[in-house]
Amino acid sequence: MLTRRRFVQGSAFAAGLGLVGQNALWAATDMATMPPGLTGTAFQEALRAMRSVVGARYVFADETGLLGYHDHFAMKPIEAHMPSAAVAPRTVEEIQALLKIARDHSVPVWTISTGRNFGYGGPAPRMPGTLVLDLKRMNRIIEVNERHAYAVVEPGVSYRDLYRHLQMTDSKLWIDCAAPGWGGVVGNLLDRGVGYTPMGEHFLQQQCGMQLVLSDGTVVDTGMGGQPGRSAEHTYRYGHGPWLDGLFTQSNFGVVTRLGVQLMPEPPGYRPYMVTFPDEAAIEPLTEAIRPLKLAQIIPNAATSTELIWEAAVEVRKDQYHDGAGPLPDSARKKLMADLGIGAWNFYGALYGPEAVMDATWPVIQDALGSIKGARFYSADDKKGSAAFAYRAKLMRGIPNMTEFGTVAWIPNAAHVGFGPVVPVDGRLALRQYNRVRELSTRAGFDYFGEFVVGWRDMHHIFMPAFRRDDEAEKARMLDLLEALIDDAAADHFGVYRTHLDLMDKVASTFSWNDHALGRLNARLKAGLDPAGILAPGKSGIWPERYREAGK
Amino acid sequence: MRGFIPCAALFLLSLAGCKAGKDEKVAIADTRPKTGKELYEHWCAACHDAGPGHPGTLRMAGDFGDNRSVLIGREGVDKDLVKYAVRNGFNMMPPFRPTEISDEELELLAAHVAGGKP
Repeated sequence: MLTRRRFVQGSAFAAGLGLVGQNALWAATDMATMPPGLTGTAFQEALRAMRSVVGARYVFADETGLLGYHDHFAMKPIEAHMPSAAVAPRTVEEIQALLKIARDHSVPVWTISTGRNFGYGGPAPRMPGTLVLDLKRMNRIIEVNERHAYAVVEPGVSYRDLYRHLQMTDSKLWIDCAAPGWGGVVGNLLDRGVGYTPMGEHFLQQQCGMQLVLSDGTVVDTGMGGQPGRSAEHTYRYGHGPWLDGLFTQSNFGVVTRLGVQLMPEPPGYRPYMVTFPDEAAIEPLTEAIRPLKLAQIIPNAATSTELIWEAAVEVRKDQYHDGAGPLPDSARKKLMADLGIGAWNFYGALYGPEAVMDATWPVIQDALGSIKGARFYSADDKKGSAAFAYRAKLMRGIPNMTEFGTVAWIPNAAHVGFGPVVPVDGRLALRQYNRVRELSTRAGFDYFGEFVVGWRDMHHIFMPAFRRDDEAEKARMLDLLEALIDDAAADHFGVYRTHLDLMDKVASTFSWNDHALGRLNARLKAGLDPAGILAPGKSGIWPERYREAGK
Repeated sequence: MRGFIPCAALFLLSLAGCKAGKDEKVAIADTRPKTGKELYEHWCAACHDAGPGHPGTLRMAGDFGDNRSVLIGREGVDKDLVKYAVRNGFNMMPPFRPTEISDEELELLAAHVAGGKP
């Protein structure tokens, strides 16, 4: 392995890549982190046993091997989420064997699928010293069913893997992907992420059939999969009796090893469109116009209202418009709008179906959105050469890409982090959320990166600000901002749908009705399903008794 | 290698009507990238190709200038640098683990990028 020193002294300088010196999170640390309460000897015994299951090659326990198991976009010092080791099984049987070792040796494990969930913690565990159970090697596409429009995949399958597979096999099925196309089909769905096609609400609209391993090693197929033969496993999600699948999303009750994912048949026609609005207050009438169109499914896809800076950042960098400190000034915002032909708000949607259906639908949308002051409509032909339109047009038909990471390229050596309060599709609430988040963000010195994604009956207000990775004060200020935003949202009775490792306890604490009855129920489920307390301590603020103190 | 199924023959199999039994292993096309070029296109191109819409290129233009912003063909990009950047990350780019890109795949990928031809 090339050493860091040789690299910096050698080819990096020759290539002019001086900033690499600010890169590696490991630069100032050389410490091993043990699982809480475990001696080094006992942990080494556990690792030895794990090596006998998966092979030495797939147990990572030294500095080099663990490089890829940290949160590259961390706000806190690396020690806050330092894994003790990582192990990468290939089969369900290997997972069962690893969990037995974890139980026998009291080793906590944190499951990841592709580990690309950057902005929410990436592959890093919530509690330092947790061993990462890396399922990326379980990357089989087990089945693609063209007739009933679904696929069955393992956790290591990424959006790009599945898209590539469907393309290469001449499939007529579309996937629905998150904006960063390197994400995992299973991981994103289990974290209740969203996409942009008519199947954009992933857990609600796609998940059908789940296989999981409980902490005691029991393998369970949910829903119709619980019946021998399981003929409708991936076409009917509920089976008989309680529907359990939701318990294994955003949770630490089991290890999901396989999912049925319903897909969208390629429609006979597709027309992406964009509508821009020059006024910042337009989010209110825009949201009011969207609600009935979404409820009636005249806008069939997960439609998105994107604010100016997010829209611009996929095309240009901040230094091209402002080289001072703090948020972009109004003068630069106006210049961006003029240069890029975008609005303060930019709505993206798409029509799907036979030409006659799209022809009939389009005037209804034009009438509704065209009544808002300053609305301007654009087709794909109007926006040729626009990277922003091109990537939205790809997302709304399920083509993975990475263009949205331009928001991270906005400033040098940046990271981003997500804050996602869920808001009813209500114009007044959307405007209030926008004003409040932008005000607090501006006060903290950050640009407002925001969009409202309307899945069906709710809006995910996604605030995804960029911050410098090499500025400790800026990282601490970002964490303070997010904590303030969570408090502010809770005071307004808005809940957060998904959050970063650093904020899981705080978000969980806001679901406090009836003396935290929901959290207490989660704790009871945790104790019942994982009595050894080895699975993902602290995930979503759910702690097993054993690690409750360590987690603090 | 990360366990590619040696299945050139399986690649040609049609899956139509092939419903899995509960414990049945299903033959399905192996469509994973294998060559250096395919690996580059799968893992790197979305960020590092030339032109708008590629965030790695956008950022490198800001850090090093437009004429040093595209990864492939850029002066000073050799195999060691590519391998280091992939495993350690580089500024906004997080690292990639051996479970994502195996050491053998990384050799092919690095050779392709260092070769300088898209």
